[in-house]
Amino acid sequence: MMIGIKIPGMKKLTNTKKNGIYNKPKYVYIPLISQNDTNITIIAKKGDYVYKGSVIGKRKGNLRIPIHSSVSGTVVGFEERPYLNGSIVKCVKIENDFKEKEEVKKESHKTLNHYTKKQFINLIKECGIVGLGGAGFPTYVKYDTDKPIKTLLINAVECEPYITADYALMMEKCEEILEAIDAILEICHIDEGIIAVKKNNTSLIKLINSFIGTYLKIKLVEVPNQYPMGWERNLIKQVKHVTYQNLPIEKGIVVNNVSTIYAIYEALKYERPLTERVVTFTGEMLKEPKNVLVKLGTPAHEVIESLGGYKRNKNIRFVAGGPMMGVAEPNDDLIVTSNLNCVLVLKEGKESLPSECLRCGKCVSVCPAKLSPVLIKDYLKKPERLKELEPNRCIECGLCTYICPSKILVREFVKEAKKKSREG
Amino acid sequence: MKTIINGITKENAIFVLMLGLCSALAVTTTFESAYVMGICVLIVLLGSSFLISLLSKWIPDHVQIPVYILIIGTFVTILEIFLESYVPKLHDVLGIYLPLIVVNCIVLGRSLSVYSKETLGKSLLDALGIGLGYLFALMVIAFFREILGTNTLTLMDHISSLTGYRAVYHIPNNSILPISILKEPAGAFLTLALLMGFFNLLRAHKKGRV
Amino acid sequence: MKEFHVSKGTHIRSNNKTSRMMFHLLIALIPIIVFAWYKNGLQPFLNGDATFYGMILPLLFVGVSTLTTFLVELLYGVLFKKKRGMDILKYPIETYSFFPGLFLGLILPINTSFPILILGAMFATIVGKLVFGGFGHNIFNPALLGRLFVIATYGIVIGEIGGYLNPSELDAVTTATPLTNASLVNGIGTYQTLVEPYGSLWNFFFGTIPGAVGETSAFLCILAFLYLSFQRVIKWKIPVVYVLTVFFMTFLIGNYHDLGIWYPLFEILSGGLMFGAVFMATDPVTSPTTPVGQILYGLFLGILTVVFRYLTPLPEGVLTSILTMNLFVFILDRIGSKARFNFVKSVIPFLIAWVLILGLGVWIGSSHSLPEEGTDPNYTIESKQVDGDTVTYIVTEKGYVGPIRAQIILEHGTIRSIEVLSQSESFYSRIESADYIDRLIENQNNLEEYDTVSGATVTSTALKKMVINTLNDYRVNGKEEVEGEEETVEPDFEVLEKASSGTTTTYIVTQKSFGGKTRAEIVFEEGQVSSIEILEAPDTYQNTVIDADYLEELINASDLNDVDAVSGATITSGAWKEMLASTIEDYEGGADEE
Repeated sequence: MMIGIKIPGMKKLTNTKKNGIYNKPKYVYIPLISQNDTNITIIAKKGDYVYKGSVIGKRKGNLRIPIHSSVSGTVVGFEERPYLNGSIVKCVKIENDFKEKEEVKKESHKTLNHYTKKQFINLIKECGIVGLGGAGFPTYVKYDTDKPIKTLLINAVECEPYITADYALMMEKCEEILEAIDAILEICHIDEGIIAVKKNNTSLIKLINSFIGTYLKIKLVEVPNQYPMGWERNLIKQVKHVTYQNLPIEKGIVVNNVSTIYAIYEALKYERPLTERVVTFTGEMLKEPKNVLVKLGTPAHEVIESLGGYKRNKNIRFVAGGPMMGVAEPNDDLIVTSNLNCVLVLKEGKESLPSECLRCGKCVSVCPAKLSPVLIKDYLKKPERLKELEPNRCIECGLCTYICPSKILVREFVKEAKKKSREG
Repeated sequence: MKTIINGITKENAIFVLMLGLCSALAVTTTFESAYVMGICVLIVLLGSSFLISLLSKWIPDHVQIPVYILIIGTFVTILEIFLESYVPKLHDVLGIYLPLIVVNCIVLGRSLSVYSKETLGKSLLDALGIGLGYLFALMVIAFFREILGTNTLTLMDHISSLTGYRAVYHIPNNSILPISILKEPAGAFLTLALLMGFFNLLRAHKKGRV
Repeated sequence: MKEFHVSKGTHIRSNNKTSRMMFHLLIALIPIIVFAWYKNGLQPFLNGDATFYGMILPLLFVGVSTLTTFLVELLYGVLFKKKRGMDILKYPIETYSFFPGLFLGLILPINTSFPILILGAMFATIVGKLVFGGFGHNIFNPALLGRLFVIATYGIVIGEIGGYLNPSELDAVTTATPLTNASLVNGIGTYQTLVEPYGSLWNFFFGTIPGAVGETSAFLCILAFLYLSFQRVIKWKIPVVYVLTVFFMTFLIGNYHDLGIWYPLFEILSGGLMFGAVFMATDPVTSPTTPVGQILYGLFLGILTVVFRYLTPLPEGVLTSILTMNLFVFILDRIGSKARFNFVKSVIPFLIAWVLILGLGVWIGSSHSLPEEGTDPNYTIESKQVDGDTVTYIVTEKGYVGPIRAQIILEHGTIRSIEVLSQSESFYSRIESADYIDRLIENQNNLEEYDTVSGATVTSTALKKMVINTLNDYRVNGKEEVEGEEETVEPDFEVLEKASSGTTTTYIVTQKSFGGKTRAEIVFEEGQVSSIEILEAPDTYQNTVIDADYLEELINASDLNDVDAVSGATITSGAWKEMLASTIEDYEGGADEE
């Protein structure tokens, strides 16, 4: 059954180039935010000297994940910078001394699986590892459970167009990722590991298959080239043919993005916290689109300048994130954070005004969450009816706006409905 | 004065309050029966409002409705007898809708909500306004239905026994008139709906919403 | 600090555009318009049945209605939308205002005069679209609404000048559209009676049968459907389910009478079903948006169409079923949206639909009967009396509305007179004004080729068949007398019982009245009517008569002829008067008979 539609991939812009590295930012701005929660205890003070990897803040509440500095240097102060969800966030501004000093010299472990499960969970918590697929969910929570985990599902689908960050990472660090998966399987007593890759990603499939033979518990599963195949529910349905109510752990499944697995590798091998990630800088308006390994907290415009800058300086649409779920930013002061997987610079074309809803039903037929967006739009004025249309199932994938022939911003209506149904 | 205008425009019984529609649809096949019906309702309204506003203080709450029906029924019966003796043909044409005025929502509803609570003067003015509004509405509907539906306009036909005049005008048939569906009940609903929409449009325009 | 464009919504968009969808729709309609022109204009012109004006008439027809709707929406835009600063000329194009007109032009009879066409198109746009709020807000399909208005109001007028038949068809075919023909035989017939008058089933498939301007060609509609589905423009589930439902139901009906597969094929290829299913039912604004809703919509459309075709006398099955289901679209969408999450919630409507399909299919099949082989089922001989060389027939033949009863007198094997005793045909006045009866007598030897009266085709055909069948019977059965099988000429008045005791005589009598037979007890005392009691009265308005103290009047009247009928129940009061009069007659005539 079709649980999505095929949309243009646009991956060719960046998936044949070698990855670049930009690791010399003058200042980094570490945002005091974790998963849209700005309740952070600030540990570093102005004037403090911090090492690369030192903890400069800790999230309050139940998910007490620490926030690390990605460079060594002096805390210059606090500044507000744009964040990828469109808001402005307070950040710790650190002046880079380019020495890459770490606080404690840690030896690299030869094998990765000598941790107990408890140690493992603590380790990835202290290393501040969050979901690098875009959600930013603290990874350790997924493993911190008494329920038996039967399957570890690695999401290497990357269904959103233009983005090739996971692909680029896998092409370079395939062996390391497999090693990490194997270690996790052993540490947490998981029965099997499945890597999910898109069917048409032939070079990646070949690469993985060449290494995967040694790992008996890890399988490679190909999934159809549809959007949003990377959505957790879709993927689990496609690969394991099960559905769950709220969390995958109900069926004994843990899903992790493949870039997160690489971060876990670094944590298991070097006990290093999360300080850098691969980000796809792409789009027609960039002179040199490519995947770049960037330190967290780097302003985006610096990276773009290092890539040669923009082709033209007007008619630019700057998107933080992918083309379907990303947010258009008014300027390029955006800072790279752990949940930013792409910076998309598009040409701003003439956007046609939305016209009357045709009631063609296309939005209904493409919604992966089985919603009826056209009806939600009609019933916005009648909140009592809204509840039975279950707008909270919406994952904001954007397919409804994509497909609408009248160019109506359908997703915005559903988002409004979500807000209304939560209030009333 | 304002009350009267109110009854014709803002609280027009047919186009705004939408009460008493069945008689409005049934008797508007000819212009004459429409305005006669309207005048009858007006008379009943005036009479009932007069009595009810005077007597409401002494009528206990739990027998309100039967007593009002009694009062209204009296006036309607007087009218009926009058019509039957002087214009029997019209009485036949109006048929059962004449006694139905007793339970016409306009009269009963207004009595319960307005006349039982207001002073005599106010009630009379309100009755006048609502009655005129009803008369006006019926005349408009009947005007369109008769002219477009049957190519005639009956100003005075059966009443001629009272007034002595006869005024029936015809338009010759042509390729699109008569629109015969308008004299059927379906056409009545259609005309009523379109006119209601038109007047709603005027009202919305006045409020500045269109 | 650079400033970039900021907008919500996704940053890539599909290629779908409403204008493209409408463009595809237009392309799909072009073969149909061309065929409509060919069949209704070009062909009659080449056959010599139509003038040059007649040849371009179909194109003009469609063009005028399209233009009217376009202009009406333009006017609406100028009056109401101008202050919003919209580009006025773009407005009617953007709202695809010409589509209702285009469809309307294709589904009306060719003989609709232009003023009626323009009025219908204006009605369709104004009441069908604009009153509801314009494009995207209407509940009913505007083209269908326009057609309903035209047929309901002017159907008779259009029928007078030929109805659905174009100039070529007026001569060639004896009856009207195939479905009207089928309704003569209750919808069930043999291949010969239903299909052959128009050719073979291929004629139905390609569309060379009488019908509205553009809705006859099933083949072109199927092509359009395939094209539009491929381009993902229409909701394909609706026509598929709709046609299959009708096919299945008529298959059940036909199967009951062992008719072949041609029967369901005949039903789906006639009546403009294909056109309605592909273009009218799939109108995006007025059809459901959810998949389950669409399937239910198709199912119920099929059920309603079959019900309207077989169980009601109206010929417009497709139109009324689509308009009716338009009312339920929002309920179907609610069911459909809930079913998206949990299919079980929609099981009940499906069950209802299936029960109706199977139940109605079997029931209609059993309640409509197949005519016997060889005989004309609509013709019966009530009585035939021979008196020397004169044979007097009393026969009935089924006409348009009901049976036509006539007395036909033959002398020396030739029809001398035809007297129609009773009929209830709608257009009988045309028969009379054409002196048709006399013409039948004149042309009795070559009646098969004799023309029918236009505007009263079915009635005249029935009369013709009646005469032909009578002549056939004479040739076959000669002067064999036929006694009327039932007491069909029922006496209007009958004395059931009469009892006297002393000076009181009590009658129980029956009198034919409006709804059937009224039975009453009338008591005479000392030569005068003393009481009348109604025992059984099946009349609708009898209460009016009773309330008017009519019986009292009758009893007290000295001369019954002075008593007026009760208005609103004329027939009933007249019957009761007759009854009393006949009773008095009997009483005074033979007071001592039992």
